[in-house]
Amino acid sequence: MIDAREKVTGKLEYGTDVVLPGMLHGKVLRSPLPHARILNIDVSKALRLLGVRTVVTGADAPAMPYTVAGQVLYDEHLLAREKVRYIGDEVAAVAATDPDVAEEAVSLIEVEYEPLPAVFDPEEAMQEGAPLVHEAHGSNIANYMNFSRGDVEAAFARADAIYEGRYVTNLQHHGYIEPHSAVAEWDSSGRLTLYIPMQAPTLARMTYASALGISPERIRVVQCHIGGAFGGKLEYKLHPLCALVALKAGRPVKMVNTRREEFTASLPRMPMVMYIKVAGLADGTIIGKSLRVVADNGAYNNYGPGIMLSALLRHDNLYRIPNLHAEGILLYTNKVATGPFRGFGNPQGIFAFESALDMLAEKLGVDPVGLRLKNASQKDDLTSHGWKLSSCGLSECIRSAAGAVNWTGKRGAHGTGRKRRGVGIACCLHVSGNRSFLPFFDGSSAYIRINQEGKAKIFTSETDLGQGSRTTFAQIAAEEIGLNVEDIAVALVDTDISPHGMGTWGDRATTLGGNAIRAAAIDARRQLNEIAAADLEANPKDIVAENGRLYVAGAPDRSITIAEAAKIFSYKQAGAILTGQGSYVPDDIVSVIDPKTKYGNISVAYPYAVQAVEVEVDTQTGEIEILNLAAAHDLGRVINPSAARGQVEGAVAQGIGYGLTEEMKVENGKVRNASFKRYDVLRAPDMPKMTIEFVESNDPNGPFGAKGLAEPALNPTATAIANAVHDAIGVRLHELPLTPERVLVALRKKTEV
Amino acid sequence: MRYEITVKVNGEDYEAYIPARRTLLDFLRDDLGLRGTKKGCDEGDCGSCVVLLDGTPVNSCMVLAVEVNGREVTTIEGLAKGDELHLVQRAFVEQGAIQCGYCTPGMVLAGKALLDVNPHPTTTEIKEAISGHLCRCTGYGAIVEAIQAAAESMDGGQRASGKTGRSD
Amino acid sequence: MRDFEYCRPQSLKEAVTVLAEKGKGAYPLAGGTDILIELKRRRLPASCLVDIKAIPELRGIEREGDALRIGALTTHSELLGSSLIQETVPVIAHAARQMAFPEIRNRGTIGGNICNAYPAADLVPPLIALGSSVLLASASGQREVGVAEFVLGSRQIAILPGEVLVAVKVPVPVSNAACAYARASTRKTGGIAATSAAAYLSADGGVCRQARIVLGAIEAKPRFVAEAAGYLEGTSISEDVAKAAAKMSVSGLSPIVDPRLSVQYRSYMTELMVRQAVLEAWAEVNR
Ligand SMILES: Cc1cc2nc3c(=O)[nH]c(=O)nc-3n(C[C@H](O)[C@H](O)[C@H](O)COP(=O)(O)OP(=O)(O)OC[C@H]3O[C@@H](n4cnc5c(N)ncnc54)[C@H](O)[C@@H]3O)c2cc1C
Repeated sequence: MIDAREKVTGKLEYGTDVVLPGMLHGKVLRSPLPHARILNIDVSKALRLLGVRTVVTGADAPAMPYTVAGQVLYDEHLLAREKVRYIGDEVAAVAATDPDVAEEAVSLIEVEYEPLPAVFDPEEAMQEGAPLVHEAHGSNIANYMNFSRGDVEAAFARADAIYEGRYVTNLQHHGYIEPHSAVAEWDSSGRLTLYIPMQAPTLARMTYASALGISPERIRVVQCHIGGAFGGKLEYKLHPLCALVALKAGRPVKMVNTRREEFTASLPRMPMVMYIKVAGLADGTIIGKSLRVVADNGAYNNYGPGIMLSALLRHDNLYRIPNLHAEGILLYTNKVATGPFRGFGNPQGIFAFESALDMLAEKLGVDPVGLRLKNASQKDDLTSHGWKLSSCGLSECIRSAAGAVNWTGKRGAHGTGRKRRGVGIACCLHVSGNRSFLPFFDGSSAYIRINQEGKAKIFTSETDLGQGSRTTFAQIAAEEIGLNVEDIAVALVDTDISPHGMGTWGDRATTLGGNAIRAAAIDARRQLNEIAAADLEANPKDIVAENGRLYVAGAPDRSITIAEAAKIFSYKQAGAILTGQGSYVPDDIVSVIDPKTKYGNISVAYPYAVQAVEVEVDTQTGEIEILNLAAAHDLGRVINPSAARGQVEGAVAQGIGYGLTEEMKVENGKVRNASFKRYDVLRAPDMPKMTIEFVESNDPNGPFGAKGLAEPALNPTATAIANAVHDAIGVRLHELPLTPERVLVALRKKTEV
Repeated sequence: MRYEITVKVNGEDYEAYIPARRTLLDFLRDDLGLRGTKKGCDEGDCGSCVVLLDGTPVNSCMVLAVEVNGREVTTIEGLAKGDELHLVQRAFVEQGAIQCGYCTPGMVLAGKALLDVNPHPTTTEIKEAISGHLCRCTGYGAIVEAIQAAAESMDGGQRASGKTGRSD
Repeated sequence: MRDFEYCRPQSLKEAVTVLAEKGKGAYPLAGGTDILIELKRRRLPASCLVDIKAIPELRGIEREGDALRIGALTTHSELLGSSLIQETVPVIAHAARQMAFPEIRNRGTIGGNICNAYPAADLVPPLIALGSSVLLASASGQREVGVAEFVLGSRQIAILPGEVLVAVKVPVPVSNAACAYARASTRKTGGIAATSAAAYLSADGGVCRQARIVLGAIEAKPRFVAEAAGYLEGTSISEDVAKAAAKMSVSGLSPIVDPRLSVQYRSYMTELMVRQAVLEAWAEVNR
């Protein structure tokens, strides 16, 4: 990893480490009520406190609502105006000379509220007469989707077996260790610089311009190193709010979330209630599936529609299912708004779907692995949703994961004692380079500068969240240019300097960013070759590059260094720096999905992940222990083996948490376990034995065949565990996480029957 | 209320005049500018603020700066000798035990403190020693291996003496 | 945190004098692992922290006749590492091992664990089951109170203004007696107890003579379950007997709210913990 040394010595500067001269410290006053009208805000006491520089309220914020990039429901303000919509809603903010004083000042702000009836359950929010979270919107339904392929009713009518079930998923927090932070500074010309740990600086600039009511041109976003993101560090209100406070204070301001605020007011994973129906033929063919999702947006829309869409259809593309129906209802509730999180709706949908498949297999009397293999999508398939599978290692992944847990030896052999064992499997496919967010903007671009010392610097807008994409980028460029990785740096994104780009989400970084960097590297190399050819009196086509040297093929002693070539370039052009530019635009851009039918090829490539687990269930305590977990991943091609392994292990840890322990417990709108003391994240001793297998399907669209990996590695974990539990104790759990209590209740129900 | 303290941090003496409510963590980061020590939760749950207090690992968010008057603190900045990384640091780099890096300083110090008192730990002991440290990126596997590798590469002379847990 | 004063007395005498002087807003500061969280969450009206860590009288683990004297400042790590404790009351080391993580155990103290009186405090149930008491000192003298009487409820203790907990006195179980502690949590590593049970048993000729069962974490205050203990006394404890005693232990419980777990589940787990603690203690007695 190119920044490992800085990290291990504590030298790397994260957002929370940024310090500017004269900087003030800001804090947010958040709503203590889930739904209330604001009658009055009195800031006079806070303003009188020694060290307080400014207090801002809704009256100081732009009146125009805003939303995140590419969304159409403008439902947010930087600070609450007439009312608050969840416990944690931003009501006021303070800047003071020190964080303790700011905190004190926040406690001195007096707000008079008129409590309003609140709604917490999405299915209740749908009912006639439910309290409206956004009156102006006229309904709690933030989004509605309904689409079909083939004829699902006809499929159900001719099926040999049908399974129907209701599945519920949990509110999971990203749990990145670095909390959200922002440092904002306005210059004398009225231009804002924001130092933020942000996955997508270009999107930030767009969104925050609209939130602040200024033109994007007046905003410069400087990306800081990110201490973990997992989807949680896209647009976040603290950033523009910090800008607003800094504007009013006339000084740079820094704001950092407390961990309690993280658990109260960031953007955790969207909970869903899912009604699923799957139909099959006696030979194990899946012929139809319908899914109805009731999704809990929380108080604001954010990327809700996209998340719900992904839960509705992504998993369908795993198999050749001709008849499908999907209905999605996205609801506002008086709870924390939800947002993107590794998997982006996919883990939710997979929980319903891949659980249901096992139940269908049982009804049909076929083996779950066999059922999956029989129906699995293959390379070059055009799926029912119009996805073009340019590479597909799904079947291989299924075989590999099943083999690694000794599926045939263990399936059904659960024993009879207090502790029962079982194996389970679940699959996923994910996007890599998701599109459809901003219809007018796709792909990625990059440029690479090579200086006279032969050192290269890459400029891209795809950020490194800690997964090591900067290293991957350097490796890609090194391979094309012929430099050593150590001679390549990757600049942090600065919207004044870096090319525009959508940032890192939807597993875009490697596929789209990597392709753009590769193109830029090829462009740089072409220029180097020309210089070398002229210097060595050879044909540019015959120049070979290796370890920082350019030489004539077959005559390694006829060579110059890349540094010398770059110097020649520069001296000939009055000091200009040799620069390679490259863009990557997926070539079937016309097929971006249809807004109504959702039909169309959404991504340039599709990675696959299959995980199989062996569990042991203690029938007395309800505890589930994972004895062995096998993860088989088709990531196209492994570019950085150590980083790839790290991605899978980390995602699996998060996936096990999603499956077994992690849940923000909300009671009357209040998160009751808003700390790592009571929000149970896996720790080192909790990790199971794990085997990882990479399948290299070599995608034609990925750089050197590579596809994304980060998100798919979490998607199937929880469901594979649920399926293994079903094998072990014969009960189907319908709700995540699979807590001991739920296991015991289900076991009791089974014995009662 | 403010108080005068003297502390030795990474071998250097500091004098400061600070409020009683300032935690050791905030003191290191904000007063001394040693921002390698991270704040992840401020409530003792995540381990990213761990430093060595007279050789013993503690959560610096759970200690007041006034409490360390007259004592010695080692932070991540104090581990490498010039350009030469400490064995545990080197092992983290070599084993790919780092992703976002936010937990890394605390993890490294916990690893060092463990090896100081137990030069040949089992994997179970390593996992226990870092059980107070959350890492959300790696799934811990590579971190455990790095500490193991550091133990293996350690020669007797390198070891300092360490202590565990006495309330000052 | 709000602003507060800080002082660090060098002797017990000095400490109790300062505490008396400063009055209501003064709190002893031991390891700080509880009180700093209370201060950060602005839940404690402290105007002065009296750091007691320089006081020599509060340190040390010693045998005094048939009891152990454990200084209030003894950290959980020290409890774990003490061979004296391992030999005489291993259950205390076992309970200390359940708590948090090494770094927190390096700071948190036995005195703080008791005085904080959090329902889930791990040392309290075994200390009560063992029949321990606390030694308290103030400007007006010393006194000794049973831990069972000292812990009044959630974050409530029978401490008088200006008093400091000096040491814990733990009777060492005689050779045919033992104490065991079992706890359940929502996670495997470093989780706060959701319910816990300590069982102290003594035996004579294969029959249980004396039994004390204490439940922790489930109610605001540690609960003695006399009926179940009475049931065990005079029996030769078997799986079934332990099961029956466990069932008795949970009747009439009024669990505090834990938003993460239902009352039924916690009662059920309490039953399991009692059963486990009783069987472990019994096995130890008969070793
Ligand atoms: C991450 C984390 C995890 C934890 N996990 C657990 C757990 O699993 N189980 C558990 O039981 N606890 C747990 N705790 C709580 C805590 O660590 C223990 O209760 C510890 O024993 C408290 O001791 P302390 O010395 O730090 O107390 P302090 O915080 O210093 O004091 C606590 C209270 O006791 C008073 N006090 C302390 N000493 C004395 C004395 N000698 N005389 C009079 N009053 C005194 C203080 O004034 C204060 O009100 C955890 C804490 C953290 C931060």
